[in-house]
Amino acid sequence: MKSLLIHDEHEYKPRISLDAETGIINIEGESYHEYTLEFFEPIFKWLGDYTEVPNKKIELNFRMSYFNTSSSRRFLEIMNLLEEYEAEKNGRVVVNWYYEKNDLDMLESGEEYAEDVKLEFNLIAY
Amino acid sequence: MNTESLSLSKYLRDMSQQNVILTFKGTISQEILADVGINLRSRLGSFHTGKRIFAIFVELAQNIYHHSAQKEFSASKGRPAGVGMLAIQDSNDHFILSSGNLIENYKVEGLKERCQFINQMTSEELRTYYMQQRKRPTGGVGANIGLIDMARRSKNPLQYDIQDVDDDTSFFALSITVNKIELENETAI
Repeated sequence: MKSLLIHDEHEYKPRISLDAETGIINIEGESYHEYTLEFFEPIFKWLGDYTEVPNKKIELNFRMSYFNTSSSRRFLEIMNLLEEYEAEKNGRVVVNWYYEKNDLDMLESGEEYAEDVKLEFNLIAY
Repeated sequence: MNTESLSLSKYLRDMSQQNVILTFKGTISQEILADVGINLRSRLGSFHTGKRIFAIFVELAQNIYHHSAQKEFSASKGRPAGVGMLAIQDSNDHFILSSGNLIENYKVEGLKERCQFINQMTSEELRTYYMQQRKRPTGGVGANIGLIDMARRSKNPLQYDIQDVDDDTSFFALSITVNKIELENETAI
């Protein structure tokens, strides 16, 4: 299985990398695409393939400065998928939520996800 | 002078009296939205003020895009896109962000109820409601949490007005007020 890199110059699309070797996933920047279902589809596809094999490690790093409500739903769905992987296939998942240290809105968003999902979840100021 | 032509000088004067710093009518593309975002954030000085205003602006614009009853084929997107209006007013102590678009009449009651329901909630209740709604599957393309998100970010009630247009549609106007003092206090840490 191949690693996946989504990176173009549009401000409304986040930069995303999914490393098939290490299981490290980075999602960063801003995300306010109008059709987030379409935009995130390759990521769900990749995660679906990656989590077919049990016992693997996944490190999901969010380093967002802004995302719209539609992206917020997609992020939750990604984490729900990883929750399932942990519960059913013995995956080991950790979520790192990075926020700029004065960005209270971003910290709050992280806290809400941490409350919403049963995953090891770190809130990290930078 | 052609009496049908729009008097832009009068229009600009009226807008200036209302402290309007931005208006838009039509279908808004991702690129325009991104461009407006960059300008707003640099213009509004404080990084956090600009970001919160932009966040509300995006939700208003995308509400129009997905939910307006009036659609136009967008060449850049290759599919129909909702048409509506957006405005931002910058007054001494607050910003007002407004949107206006047509909605189907069968949606009017549900929309009114949703706005009223959101407006009677405390911030803690809004947080819970937001998280509950985010977990529920939606039928459509939107996230269905835009109104809650705007109420949370603005810390003010949603101001809305719905006027009859014809047998099928009504005009839905929504205004979101953000107090400047609150913004400054919150970010001064």
